[in-house]
Amino acid sequence: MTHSNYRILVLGNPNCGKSTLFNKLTGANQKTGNFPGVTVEKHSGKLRNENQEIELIDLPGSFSLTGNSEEKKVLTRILMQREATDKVLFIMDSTLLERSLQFFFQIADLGAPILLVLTMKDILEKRNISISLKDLEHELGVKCFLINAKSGEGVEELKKYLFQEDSFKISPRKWKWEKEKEEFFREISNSFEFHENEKIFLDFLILNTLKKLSGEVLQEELPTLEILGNKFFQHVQKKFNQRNLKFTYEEELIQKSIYIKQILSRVVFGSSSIRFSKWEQKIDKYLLHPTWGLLIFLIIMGIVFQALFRWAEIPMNLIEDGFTFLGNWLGNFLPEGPLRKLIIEGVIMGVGSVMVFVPQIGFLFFFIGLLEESGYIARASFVMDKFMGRFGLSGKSFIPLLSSAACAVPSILGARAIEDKSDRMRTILVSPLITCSARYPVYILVIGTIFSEKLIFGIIDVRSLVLFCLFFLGMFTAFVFALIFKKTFFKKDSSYFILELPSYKIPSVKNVSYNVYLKLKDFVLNTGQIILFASILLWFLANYPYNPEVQNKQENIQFSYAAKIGKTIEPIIEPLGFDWKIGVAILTSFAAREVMVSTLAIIYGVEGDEPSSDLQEAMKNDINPKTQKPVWSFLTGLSVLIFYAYACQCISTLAVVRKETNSYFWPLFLFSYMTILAYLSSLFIYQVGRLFL
Amino acid sequence: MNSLFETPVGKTFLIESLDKKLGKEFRKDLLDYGILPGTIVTVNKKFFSSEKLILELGQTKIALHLEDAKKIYGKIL
Repeated sequence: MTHSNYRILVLGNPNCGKSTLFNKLTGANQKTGNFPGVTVEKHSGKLRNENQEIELIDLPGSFSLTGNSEEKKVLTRILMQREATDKVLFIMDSTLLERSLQFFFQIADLGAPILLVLTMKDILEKRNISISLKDLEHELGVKCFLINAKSGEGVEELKKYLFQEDSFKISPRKWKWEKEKEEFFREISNSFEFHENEKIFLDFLILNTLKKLSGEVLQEELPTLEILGNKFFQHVQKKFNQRNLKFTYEEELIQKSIYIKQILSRVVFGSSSIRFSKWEQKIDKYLLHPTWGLLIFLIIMGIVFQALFRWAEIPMNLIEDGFTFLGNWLGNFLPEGPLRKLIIEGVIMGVGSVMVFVPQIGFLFFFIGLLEESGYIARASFVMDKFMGRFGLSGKSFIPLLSSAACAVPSILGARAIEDKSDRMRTILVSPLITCSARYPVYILVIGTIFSEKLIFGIIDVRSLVLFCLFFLGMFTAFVFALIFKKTFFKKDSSYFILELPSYKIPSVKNVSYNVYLKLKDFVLNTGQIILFASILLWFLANYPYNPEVQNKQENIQFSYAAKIGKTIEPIIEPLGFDWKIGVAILTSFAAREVMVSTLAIIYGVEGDEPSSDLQEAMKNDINPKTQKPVWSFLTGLSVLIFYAYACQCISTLAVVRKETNSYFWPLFLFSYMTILAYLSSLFIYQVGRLFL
Repeated sequence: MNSLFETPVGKTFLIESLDKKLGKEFRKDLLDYGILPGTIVTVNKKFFSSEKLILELGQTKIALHLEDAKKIYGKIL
């Protein structure tokens, strides 16, 4: 198999079907990483045929390259630093051609070879609209395809063309400024002697230069003629000063819009002004309603959490049984000794105790994916905007905050879309308070230990209800702290609200499931490595120094290094109701929260073979030798839950905050305020609770 | 000249200008979303309690604050 000599950058507006097509083209041959020098996730995949493979890179969706949000800056930087051989696969929602073509023209202005793909063929057909691809190709100067990314219609044919380098064509600039300005623009362009191939990019530099000279604040990453040398810039400046002309972004878009309307009148046929269906209007009436909308949001989230507990039970049991079987099976082959113990008690039990929660995390990703694809998440942002406004956040913060329910890292990166710096910083600083997927293994373990399986009104599982409350506690605390930060550090408020409400779509279960698979793969491979390393280390700390005189392993652990560390910090955590074992678990979970479960599995599970359900039994039966009372009392469990709800125990989060804020102060501040909050809240719960229980 | 805010629900509105008071970044975002002079939009809904307005622009819906809709000027058609 030969590697192609070019890469394909996949670009388009948000919600245009870009990721669905990317998945269809690359299948399982995908990987995630970062672009060099930036923390933007690089989602790349391989497109293969019998004898060739091409790298496809899925770039973040955007409406333009202007604006100073971090997201746009990064996208522009990637495009400006692209390799000379790179091609662009531009994806466009065929039902939103007018707006999509505006972004297309910005990319065409860069001089990159483009192949254009129009998606949503099925919706177009339903609306009785047809597009003449031949005429569109003629107008834009690039090859065009109309496909249905969801069903895959047209994708196979598209693939063939992607392997042919000459399918990608440079689209010459056809839109024009109004007469006098266009003449001036041409005059400047013709005053430079450049090769024809370089002319398009030169025009792009001239355009940026003229906008800058007209007083426009250009996005930092957009180059002007200055990159070719000062003399070029000064040459244009001199000519510009002699004329009284203004080149603004607004006018550029207006001129492009006039040209786009002309193109569309020639290539689009049928009823293009079809309004929204009655059922869509009716659904919006309720989902966007200030009261009903909020209530529906709460019900949907409630159902999601109920499902997390109920539906995930079967696969969780299967994984648990699988690890038990693996441990027993290996036990039959491995000779007695430290290596056998390390593999079975350390590696298999430690890793298994966290992996058992993969189905629940998968279900969470799945539901968020379904809601996002259906178009509901934008409605939830709309409904939450006013509520969030009371806490100094805009509706734009809602989507990053909601993605915190999966992980704070993408949420912090997602905050780049927020242009207002104060708003963005507030979102970054409160995102880690939202209940992330790493907290669920801890919550589920502790909730299962201190709450019994009981149904309220015959349908609501009490454990699901507690989990649901913890989710809202995280969200509520995040809002309160956003308000505190607004009143203290970030008083400046210039945030604004604009939100697209995409049409409702029936989500593709296949597509959502595939994305869940990719995220889980990432979780298992990346977090799994930390857990494996931590499990081995903890096993060693919990089993050494080995005292052969003590036969009972539970007693032996009392003399271990882990016990020594735990007992050293016990005086600090005792007021919270924690013993040394919980102390060790807290220390180890500062790397990643879910390590707490494997830590306790190793500390408690040294007697047994099973990784998880027996752990809850062991915790319930654990008696504190000092007080002769259960270590895991209801109050201690509650105190642990609150501690984990608030403490900043995630190295990746701190690393991303450091990178995003370009400062050591903010990650340190984040870690300090969350740890102090966790300690004081747990202290309050435990000490006040003791007065009543 | 009217503002988008004054446009009754179900009526169309021709955008003529965007107030400078909207701020540079917001104006750029509005333009990128397609809310630019010369464009015709339809007011889909107004929510006075949550202070928002939804407009239809081609085949898409866009939500704005009512206060901001007061700063988008043009003609009610």
